[in-house]
Amino acid sequence: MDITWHTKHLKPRQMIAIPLVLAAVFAAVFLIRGVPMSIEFSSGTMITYRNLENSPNADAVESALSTVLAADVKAVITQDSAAGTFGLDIQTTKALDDNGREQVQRTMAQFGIQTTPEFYAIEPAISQTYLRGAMWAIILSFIAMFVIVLIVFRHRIVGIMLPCVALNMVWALGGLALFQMQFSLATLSGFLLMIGFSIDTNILLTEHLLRRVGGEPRERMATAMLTGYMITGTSLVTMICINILVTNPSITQLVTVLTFGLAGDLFNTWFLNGGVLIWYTERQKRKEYYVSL
Amino acid sequence: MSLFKEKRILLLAGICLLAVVLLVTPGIRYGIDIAGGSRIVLELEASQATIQLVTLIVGDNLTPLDDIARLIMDNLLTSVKVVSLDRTANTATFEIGRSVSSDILASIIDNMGQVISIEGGKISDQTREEVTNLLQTRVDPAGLLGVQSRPMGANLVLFEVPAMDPERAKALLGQTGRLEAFIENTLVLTADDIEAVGSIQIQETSGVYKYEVPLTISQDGANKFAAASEGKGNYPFVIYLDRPDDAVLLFNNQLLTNMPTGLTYDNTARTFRITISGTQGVSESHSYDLLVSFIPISKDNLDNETLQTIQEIYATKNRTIFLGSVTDFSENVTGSVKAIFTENNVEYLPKTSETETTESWLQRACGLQSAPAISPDIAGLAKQNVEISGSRGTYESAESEASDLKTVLQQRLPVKVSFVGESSIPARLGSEFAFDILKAAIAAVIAVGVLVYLRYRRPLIVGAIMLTMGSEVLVTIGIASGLRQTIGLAEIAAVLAVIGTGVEQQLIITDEVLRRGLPKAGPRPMSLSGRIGKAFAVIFAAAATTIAALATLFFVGYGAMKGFAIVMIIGILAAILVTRPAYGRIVSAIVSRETAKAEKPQVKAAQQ
Repeated sequence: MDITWHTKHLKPRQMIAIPLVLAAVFAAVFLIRGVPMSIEFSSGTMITYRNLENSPNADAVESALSTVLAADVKAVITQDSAAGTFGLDIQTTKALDDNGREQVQRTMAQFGIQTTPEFYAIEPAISQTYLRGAMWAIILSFIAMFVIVLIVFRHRIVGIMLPCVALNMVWALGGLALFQMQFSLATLSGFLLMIGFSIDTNILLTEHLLRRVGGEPRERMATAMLTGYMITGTSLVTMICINILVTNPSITQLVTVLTFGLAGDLFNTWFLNGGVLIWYTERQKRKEYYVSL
Repeated sequence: MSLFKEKRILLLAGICLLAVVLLVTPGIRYGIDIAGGSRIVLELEASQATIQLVTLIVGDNLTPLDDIARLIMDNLLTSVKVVSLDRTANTATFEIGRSVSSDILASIIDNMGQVISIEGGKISDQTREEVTNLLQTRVDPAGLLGVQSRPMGANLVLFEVPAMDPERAKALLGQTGRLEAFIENTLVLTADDIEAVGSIQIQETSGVYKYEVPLTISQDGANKFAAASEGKGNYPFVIYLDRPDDAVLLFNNQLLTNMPTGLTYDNTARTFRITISGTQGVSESHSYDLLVSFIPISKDNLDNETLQTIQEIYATKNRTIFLGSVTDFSENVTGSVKAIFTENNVEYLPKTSETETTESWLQRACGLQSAPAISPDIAGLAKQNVEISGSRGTYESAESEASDLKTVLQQRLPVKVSFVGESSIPARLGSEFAFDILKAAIAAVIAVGVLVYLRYRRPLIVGAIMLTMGSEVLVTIGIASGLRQTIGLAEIAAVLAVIGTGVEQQLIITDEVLRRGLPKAGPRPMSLSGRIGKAFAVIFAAAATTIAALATLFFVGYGAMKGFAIVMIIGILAAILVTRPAYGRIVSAIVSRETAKAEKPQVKAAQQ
């Protein structure tokens, strides 16, 4: 099978259509199913136990309570080294009413914890201000990237790179929605990582199409694509290895984002960005005879 | 082979060596996920008071509000701001940076208005965020530590600080930074008069380390000092930090039977008086009062008279501090005090050690920082430099004490903070996680190696890629540790990203060098160095773009994102400046050796 088949046989319009349709599917999945927010991003309740004689099993508490409350639960054991006692801090995304509180205490009794805990309402660790800051960070970083690629390539058309990167994020969000994984700090890192990876492949493509000379643009794209698929392939293999070996929810979230984002990158770079750039170079050629140095 | 004399290779070797040194000392600082840390809950003690104004507020003229705010500020020595104004009822709600009773407030505003209601333990979101940011700057000024915080309940903030000694965290987070300086029991300067805090100085004299924190006072403050110190040469200049003027301090009356010289208890003023006798040929002696209420009690039971006094004081004070530990007083005593002040408002302050003198214990309880005698040369002058000094037994403790003091004074809080609880939390991910990561990293490296081999079929290139990957991880983590960046989950993700983009770029270089699949490559084949140059054009463009994105992330971002950005910028810089050029050199050496081998027989054939 020739993985560069489309570079030789498809019209730019056809190349562009494929990733747009796929992105629309992922956007639909995201919009229909939605992505749950992790504890860091949502408000909820903090339940604190102090002066416990034995260290409770946080994992068991977590799974029992998340079943009972039908919400995300995070339990942390604390230690008071001076008194030699333990404590338990449980965070949940659910706002607990009296009924919910009772449920918590009944569940905790199964673990031999009879004392009455303190309940506090908690606000998101990532406050609105920070979220606004994060939004700004992403917008500004896109502007900064745009400026840099403009300086490097001196063609306005390279701006198409940015929507391509943004569409990878749509794929990743769709992936999270598909598996109902949380949007957490780990997924946020995953998004950043993915932006870095996909910028690289887009720049590889642009470099080969706009700055290199010799050969037909479509041939140069095919060459770049072989390198590009190798790059994305190694990254995907690495991610899959990590996901199989590390059984940690944060790592799984991060890897899910990357896997879907990179899979999307295969289409968004080599079909969408490629299609637009092929259309552009072929039109340039028709307009004036393109002289190669 | 000249490869090892090559500058780029030597640079790589040098940087790797530096990274190893940095990994040994200072070593990696792990994040809270991996190494655990402390979890601290702080209470922000603001209260909101609604006041019926006497003067009618018309239009934009808010002077009457400012007047009341200033009056409260000057009397309670705390920040005050207007949070809401109801023009129809002519009432305004003020946020006051400490708890205050309605009687006290009424006596302060006197005839300017009437206190309608007062709500303790209430803080506006805006103030809470301001305080949280200030506190975060105190413990983590450069944002490298990865401190996390989250609002809890009505006026609590939960802090998670990785690997920090709880005592240190307490010193940095638990102090408001309310500075007061008195001459002859008259307030002369407050924290508002401080313009700048200078760099700390430490001097050793016969085994005792004396520290000094220099303060620059505003012109206005200097004038106040001049007026107050006129003719007061050799009088003590008494400086307090976070003086517990809202508390009543209870001490065991046995203390009075064995008082050291220079210390007396005044029954009517209900406080201790410290007398400093003249030094260095000055015969006159001066004294100052500790400006906090002290009440002697018997450790076994409270007689009615004392109980009544405490109850009277309760009207003006809202918490109590026992000088001593819980066990130093009988339950009978602590129980009846708790009944008045409620359990949450009772604290204990034992001696730090058996050797601590009574005087320094009392001073510590009052938040007294230092009480130097005013030199007769400067009394009455508008002096803009004031020092806070103290001494400790070791250089380290003097330094940390002084630098904490400096931090607290630089990041003063608009509200009073107090400790609700503090506990240590073990590593969430722990050693099992570290082992998992190691397993995954090895598997990923092998998988990448296999893929690279399948593509190029050259074991030497696989080896070179692996070597570069390894050195890149080493350099990134080494330099991050050198910068004292905490390595947590986000930073591990950044290291993964560095490896990922690293492999990518090496593939780009290798493809260019081997010139795969591009038969019609221009009019004439390009030289090896030209091909490497082409590869670097792509790599530099990609690196510049990613760094631009990460730099904005660093400046705007939230804690964990900052760590991610820093580590990844380090990795990318190390890659494009050091490891990538070295890799290019190694690959071209491999390729030119191969072509030389392949071309040799042909050259010989041509010669014949």
